[in-house]
Amino acid sequence: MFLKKGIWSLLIPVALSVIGVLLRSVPIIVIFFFSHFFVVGLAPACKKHESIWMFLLVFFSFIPVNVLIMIIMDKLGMLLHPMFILSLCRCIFYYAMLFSVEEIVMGVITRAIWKKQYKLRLK
Amino acid sequence: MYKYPRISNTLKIKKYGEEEFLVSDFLSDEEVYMSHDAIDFAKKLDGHTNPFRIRCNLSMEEKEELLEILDEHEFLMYSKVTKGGPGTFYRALWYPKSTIGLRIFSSVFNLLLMLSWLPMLILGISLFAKNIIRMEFNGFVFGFVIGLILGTALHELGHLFAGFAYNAPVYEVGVMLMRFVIPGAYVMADTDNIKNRNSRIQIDAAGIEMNLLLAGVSLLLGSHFVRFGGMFMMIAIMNILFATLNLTFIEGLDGSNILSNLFGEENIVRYAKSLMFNKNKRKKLTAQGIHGYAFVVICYILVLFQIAYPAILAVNILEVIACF
Repeated sequence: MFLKKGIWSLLIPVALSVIGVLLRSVPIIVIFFFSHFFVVGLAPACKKHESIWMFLLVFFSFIPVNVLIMIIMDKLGMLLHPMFILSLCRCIFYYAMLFSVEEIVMGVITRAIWKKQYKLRLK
Repeated sequence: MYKYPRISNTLKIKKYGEEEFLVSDFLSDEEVYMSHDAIDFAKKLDGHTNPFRIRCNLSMEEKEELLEILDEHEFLMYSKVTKGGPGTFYRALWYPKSTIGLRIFSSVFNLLLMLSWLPMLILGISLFAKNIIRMEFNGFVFGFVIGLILGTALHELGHLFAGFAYNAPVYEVGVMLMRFVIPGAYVMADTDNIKNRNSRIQIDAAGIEMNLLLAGVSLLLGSHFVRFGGMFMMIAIMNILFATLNLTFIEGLDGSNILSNLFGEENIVRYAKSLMFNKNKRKKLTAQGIHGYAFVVICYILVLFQIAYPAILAVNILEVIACF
């Protein structure tokens, strides 16, 4: 029922992501990944504009996962550098890469599931 | 520099009415109506022949007038190097001609690429990880150079074959220089006529798939030839980096093109940028309800992520400086 109510249901993947990352639980992260499709598919607000909402949802929900990946990369010595500006640039660079890969993978799956979507047009 | 003007390679000719043809440029979208004789003359402008010595049904005055029109619409080339955006230059190396044989080969190649890149990458990673204890890590510099050259060349080859496989007109293949510093390669293909969205996405994604396939093959070879493990690992790293870099939403890269296709826009990043500086456009979008607001937020995110471009440039430049 909660899912049917609409836009607030989009917070479910965000919550799952935070819980999964805090507990470092792989099953929760797997559920988090698939929850995007259930939420976007069931929320009435997303109907016929699934790509737009998926993009937005992935941007926010993947932040904890991306931060976790960045922490792992930092531990592997891939981010830190004596020059602060270089460390910062590397962070932006890797974050942009992660974000883009996630958005494209989720976007392609979304388009494959919901083929017919309305396009927003400027009148 | 060409001795004489050369007709642009990116022109599309469509029959319009009984005797007229509509000539349009793929790059500039400029259009002009021309007669059969004028097109016959224009096609013979190869950069080496004096236009006034070309045999055709046009008089000297008509030829001069036509050259002026072609020049006005930027349909003529005077140099092998074409200027793109600010600090961007293109140098065509090959003007591929679509033949039946090439199209069949491309279709098979494209199908194999789509089916094999992911299994090959997984297989490569798993076998490399299994043999990592026996590995000898040397030849990194050689691997870096090979990875860079092979990665760039095969990436473009992937686009080229995918373009031919889906019957997209491929105008030219060449090398380029972006923002005066970043060298690269390009395949100029027109995907506008392709109706199927998935085919358009595959043409944009083929280069990335090719890089990941190459990374998988390198890791597979590295796990077999352990003496050259370092070199093969470097080739794989370069190609994975190349693939992920191309997936970013920086304008002009494959990632932004794929995203544009997913949203059904011609150029989503350019659209997002134009929306940021146009309050009226934003108002019209938000008037369409919650979806409009969502799309405006997406545009803000895309514009925000354009800062990744200078960050990548800075990483490249500062890493080189830091070496000294």
